Amino acid sequence: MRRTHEDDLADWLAAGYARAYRTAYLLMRDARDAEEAVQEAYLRVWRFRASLPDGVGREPWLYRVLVNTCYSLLRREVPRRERNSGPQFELDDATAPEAVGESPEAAAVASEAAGAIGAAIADLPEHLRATVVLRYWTGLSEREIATAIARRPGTVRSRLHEARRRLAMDPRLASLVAPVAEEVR
Amino acid sequence: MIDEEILARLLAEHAEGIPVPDSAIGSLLAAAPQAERASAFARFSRPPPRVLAAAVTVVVVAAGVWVLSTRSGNQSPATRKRASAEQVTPSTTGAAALAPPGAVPGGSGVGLPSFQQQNPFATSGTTPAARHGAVPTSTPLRGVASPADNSRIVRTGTLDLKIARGSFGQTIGRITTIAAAAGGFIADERTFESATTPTGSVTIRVPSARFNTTVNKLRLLGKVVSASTRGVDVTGQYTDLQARLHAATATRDQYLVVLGHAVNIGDILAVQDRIQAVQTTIDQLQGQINELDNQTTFGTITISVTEPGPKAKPRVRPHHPSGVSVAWGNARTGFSRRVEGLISHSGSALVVLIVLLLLAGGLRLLAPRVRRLLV
Repeated sequence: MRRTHEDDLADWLAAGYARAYRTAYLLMRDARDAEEAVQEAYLRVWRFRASLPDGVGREPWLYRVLVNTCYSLLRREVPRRERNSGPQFELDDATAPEAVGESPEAAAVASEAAGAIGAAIADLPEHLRATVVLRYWTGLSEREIATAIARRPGTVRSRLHEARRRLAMDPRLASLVAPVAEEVR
Repeated sequence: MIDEEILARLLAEHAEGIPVPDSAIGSLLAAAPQAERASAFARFSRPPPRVLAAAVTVVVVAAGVWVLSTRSGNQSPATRKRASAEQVTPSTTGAAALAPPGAVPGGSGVGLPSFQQQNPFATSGTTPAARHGAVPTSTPLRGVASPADNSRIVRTGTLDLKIARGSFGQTIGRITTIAAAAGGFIADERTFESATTPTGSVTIRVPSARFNTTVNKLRLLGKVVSASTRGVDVTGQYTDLQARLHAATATRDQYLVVLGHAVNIGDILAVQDRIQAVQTTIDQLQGQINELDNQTTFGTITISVTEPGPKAKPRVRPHHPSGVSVAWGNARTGFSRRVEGLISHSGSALVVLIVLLLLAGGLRLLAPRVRRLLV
């Protein structure tokens, strides 16, 4: 049976659901909102699938829709009031990925650092948060991020720099910055 | 500056720890056989027969409910009251006539059971509708027009008052007090206080039950130049809006039921699209109902307040002077005119005088030389 463009798209959407959901969660910090955002973004992608580019061009397009949807939901008044009622997940022993080969102490330190980085990123302004998440979690290139957030690559670089600068000043991440500073010295 | 690799690694660790909920899209796409998905997508371009049949059923049911509701809204008050009483009591006739068939899952509806029989994907478990908590409950529909809602009257009134001079500010204050005492409020206030006659217009909203009492109190504030009150019965419109709201809600619930039985992405997305459209209609209807509620709960009275204008200045009687005074006036005028003339012509005379003096001086200097030449 011959596979159609829609078959490919459906498979691609299904395969990328977890990553898209986690991206949305990192942007919105609320499980319900993240789920709603991903579903809404998928719905839009599906509705306009005829104009969706093929191949690698799809991903920035999808994340552009997703980021815009997240922004729309974040600015919506009612969910903002109810956002605190949504479930929020914390990294714990049950959900944290197992660090194979690491000692329990090292795993605990790594888990704590991961939690700290999540909290620090959550405190970033929306535009910086989106850039950081798309770059360091979603793994998009600067050019793809520029497409995703509808800005120039130079703006993306500037935002990444600013975000990293702010993260470096975050006291929760002091333990991550210090070794690098020592290395520089 | 934080290292990029560390940042990426820790962020990945953090993100991987975020549990991903069982998504309808993800899980259904993952579980659905490839062949069925292909056929589902092929059907998506033209509406799937099952969804189409369900949608047609929903639309027909909703239209039926709307027509019945509209008829009940257009009936005479007595008939409407009887009808509403039938709806409130759990009798089979009224409820069956107004409740959309299939609104109660597995209940006595007409549309849903037939759909369930035809729908081979009728499964239980985690579905989009269930996750939204939108599976209709067995709560019967409220009556379209309950007896308490039968009287919906928008009351408006205008009063044009002429008040005593200098009491403008006091009157505006009294209007505010009267509105507050009636449980109302000032909706709009415009005053214009010029040097002559201050005027103003105050619009107050008072509970409809105290509308007449408030108008009577306001009448005592001054002389009533004109007054008018008006009551518009919007019961039919209100009932119609409520009926349409119930119908739209039932339609949305039906779509949610359909969504609950959908098993492929094409069906889910198509139904979600329609749910959004119906939800927009519901929001619009709810807004109109709220506006009517507001208008009928509070009556609107607009009071125009005017002070009388300032007292007219006494007219100066014409004065007829005597002959001597006229002559004295003429003399005074003539003298002043002559003096003014002298002053105004003095400039020219001065110039002439200067020229003559210069000529005389010149002649005096030249005269001896001329005489010497001639001699």
